[in-house]
Amino acid sequence: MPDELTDLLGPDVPASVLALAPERRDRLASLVRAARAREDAEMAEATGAALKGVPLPLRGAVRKALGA
Amino acid sequence: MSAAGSPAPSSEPDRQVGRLARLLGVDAAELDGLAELPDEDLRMLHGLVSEHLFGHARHRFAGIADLTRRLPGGVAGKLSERFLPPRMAARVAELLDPPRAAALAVQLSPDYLAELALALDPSRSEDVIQAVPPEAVGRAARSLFDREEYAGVAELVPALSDEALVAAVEAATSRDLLELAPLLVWDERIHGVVAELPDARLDALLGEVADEGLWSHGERLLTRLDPAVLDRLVERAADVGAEVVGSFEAASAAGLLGPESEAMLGRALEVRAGAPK
Repeated sequence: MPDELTDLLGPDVPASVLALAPERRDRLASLVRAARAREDAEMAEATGAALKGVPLPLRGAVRKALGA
Repeated sequence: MSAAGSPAPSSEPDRQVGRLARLLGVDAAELDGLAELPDEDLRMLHGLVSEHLFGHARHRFAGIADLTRRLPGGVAGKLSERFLPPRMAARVAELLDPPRAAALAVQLSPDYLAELALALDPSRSEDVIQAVPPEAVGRAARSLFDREEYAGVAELVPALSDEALVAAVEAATSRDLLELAPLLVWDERIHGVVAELPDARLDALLGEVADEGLWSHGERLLTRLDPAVLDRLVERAADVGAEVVGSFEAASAAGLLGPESEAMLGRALEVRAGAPK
């Protein structure tokens, strides 16, 4: 049966975690999803701020470093 | 190893849940039920979540680490602090060689370095943490103590160099030490640092317990101390002001002292009365 935690974290999720009550597993999956969304948003914001805010001579190097 | 009966670090699952909660940016209470899982499984879960959150951006962190290597330390520090959230800076720091990480650490403000340190995975960044100069560690530790991030400090302690550990202890107030003590894994190194505490610090610890009524904090510390340090505390307790001893006696009469505290008080009173120990 598909499990949201293994969908998110891969097949190595420990058996003891998968044995948690379904509502706890769902809650954990939801916290992981929220954390990923937050990190992605933070990364996008930091990238944008860096590309706009670093001194001009460094902007190319920063763009390259960020792969942006 | 404490012959005084230092308890096993029974809070290890709580520590692991705390690490996971920090990674997820939530309160540990939101991970209700996880503390019952095996430590190894919690560590693995932490690693999987960390990979899920940051693995896809590894090339970016590597790029930033590479850029950081090519900039003067002061410039890299300023840019990091201005544009890189501490959790991301931690991922970059994990990719730096230790000398470069150390050179950067001294350029960062204590608060930023403290946030970054909390986001590090100590098991993956031990070399980097060990390289951070003691002065920078002391300043960051002070920032963490101010925010009562005792569990975070306890997680970092095993990775600190001896000198940095001493700097962190020196940055701690008596209250900080009392809060931190039960969260540490009391290995030989911790016992060694505590054994070197000067008398004035032992007096201050006794005073803090007495003044603030921190009887359970005091008891938790006493249960972890080596006999030689306990003997020193008895001597200090016998020598401190009557007010401190009076507070301990009042707490004893009220049944507030644990067995180790009662034993220390009893021995201290004997010394004060001039009776043989």
